[in-house]
Amino acid sequence: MDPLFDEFLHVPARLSLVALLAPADWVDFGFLRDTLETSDSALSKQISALANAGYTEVRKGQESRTRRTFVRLTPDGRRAFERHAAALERIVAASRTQAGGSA
Amino acid sequence: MNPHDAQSSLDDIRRLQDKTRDEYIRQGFALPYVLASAAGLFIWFTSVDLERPWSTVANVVGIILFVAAGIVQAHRTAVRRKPAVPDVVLFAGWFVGLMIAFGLFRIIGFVLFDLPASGFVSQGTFAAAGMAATYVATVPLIRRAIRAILRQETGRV
Repeated sequence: MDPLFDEFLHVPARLSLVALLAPADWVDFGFLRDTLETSDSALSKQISALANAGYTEVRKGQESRTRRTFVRLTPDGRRAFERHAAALERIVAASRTQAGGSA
Repeated sequence: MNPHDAQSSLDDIRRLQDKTRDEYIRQGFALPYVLASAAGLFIWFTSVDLERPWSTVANVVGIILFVAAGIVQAHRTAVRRKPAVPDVVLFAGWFVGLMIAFGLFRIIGFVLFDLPASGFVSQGTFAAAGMAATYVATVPLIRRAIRAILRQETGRV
């Protein structure tokens, strides 16, 4: 297995969540829930797991009359995601090289 | 992990990242905010040919409308992102382009329609309308440029 491969992050629900967070600073909880087509509790569970690992940060705020929750990747979380994506790319690239060599 | 699963995970990552980028662009250039900003620009630049106190009133109302549209949009958006240097360069270039459009429309108003240099129906009002229309017409280009900037930022995945 590639040394950069992150077993903790590779859980589909976590990897999807981190992929959604990566292009932005703060992302609204409701957008994450709707895009991932999951429930509030399931999403909260994954966010908590990532927060405990130091990968995400949560901010709650009052805007107009509604409470809004925003989530973002911490610098550690962003680095972990980039390393994991690089590991996945290396696995794919290695298989292509092998396929090219055996052809 | 087999290569097929790795490729499938990478495809999922790219698809989800595109959803965040699409949401950022969709909300950032939503029609109500674009139209409010265009109205703000029009009122702001109409002020150049008006007489006092109307020039001051139009100037203040236009700037407030333009800035307020941006603030409300930024406040309500589901995807927040700090502007990076390429964004600042892009928006500065866009503003300069709009100023050039204002100048060109002013010349067109004078040469083709013989509009006066002051008053409500003047070169300034014509140019402000042309500038606001240019603003709305160039939004798709800016949207495309922002999408390219976002892709470059997270381009490695």
